[in-house]
Amino acid sequence: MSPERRLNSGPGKVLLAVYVLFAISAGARSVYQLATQFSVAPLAYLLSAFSAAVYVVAAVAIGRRWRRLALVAVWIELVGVLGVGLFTLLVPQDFADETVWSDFGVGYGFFPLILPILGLLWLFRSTDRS
Amino acid sequence: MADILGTVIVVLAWVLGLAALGWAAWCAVSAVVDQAPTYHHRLALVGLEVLGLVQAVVAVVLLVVSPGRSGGAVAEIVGYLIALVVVLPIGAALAYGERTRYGSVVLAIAGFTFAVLVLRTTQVWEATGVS
Repeated sequence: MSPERRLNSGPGKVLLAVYVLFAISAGARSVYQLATQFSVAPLAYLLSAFSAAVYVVAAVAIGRRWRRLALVAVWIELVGVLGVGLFTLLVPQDFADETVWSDFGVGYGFFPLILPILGLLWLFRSTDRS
Repeated sequence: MADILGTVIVVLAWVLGLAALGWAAWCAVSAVVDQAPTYHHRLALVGLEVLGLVQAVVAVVLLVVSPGRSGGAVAEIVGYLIALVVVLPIGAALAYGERTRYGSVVLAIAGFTFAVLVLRTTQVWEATGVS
């Protein structure tokens, strides 16, 4: 197999870098929110923590070339951003504060919505089956 | 002393932000023309990292010698400074061994993130400053 098609190299390396970035920033933000202002918006902050965990799992799975786990994490991510996006659109009063996935990730330039789509495209394209 | 350092931190923030954006653009152009990261890309990365470390040390010294910020603000600033110091080494580690244009893309992302972190740190620094 050519190294360009490996899950964690070539375009996969860029994907990995973005997932590491999301994992660290969402994780740090989540720890800060839970530690300092949990009572303000428990639902939103628990959801932030969950999305951070999903990014961490996706980053580790892509980095370690665990294709099946990466697929599961990225699918959960896509369902999560679509579900939370719809939910914040229909019943915004239940969310006292923003999460990464609110309004389909508009606060982050819709990148939270684009990322899982790019991730799935790469996971299907990569010939890595190890 | 605190006055001088206060000026240093603002000037350094501008230098760091613009230099990081320039470096990120250079890496992005390299990726577009199908060039892997070179020795010169990495040398510039080390230069940015050294300046970033200086900025972090100056900021921590100022936090210690001129208190007045809330605990939350200090935690946020220190968090951003840690991110600022680790983002380029992480980017370099990921790009290491990736001797294709995608290595340059990874460095461009790291450089852009570094610039954003400089901007955010400065915003929080000025919004929570006492003077």
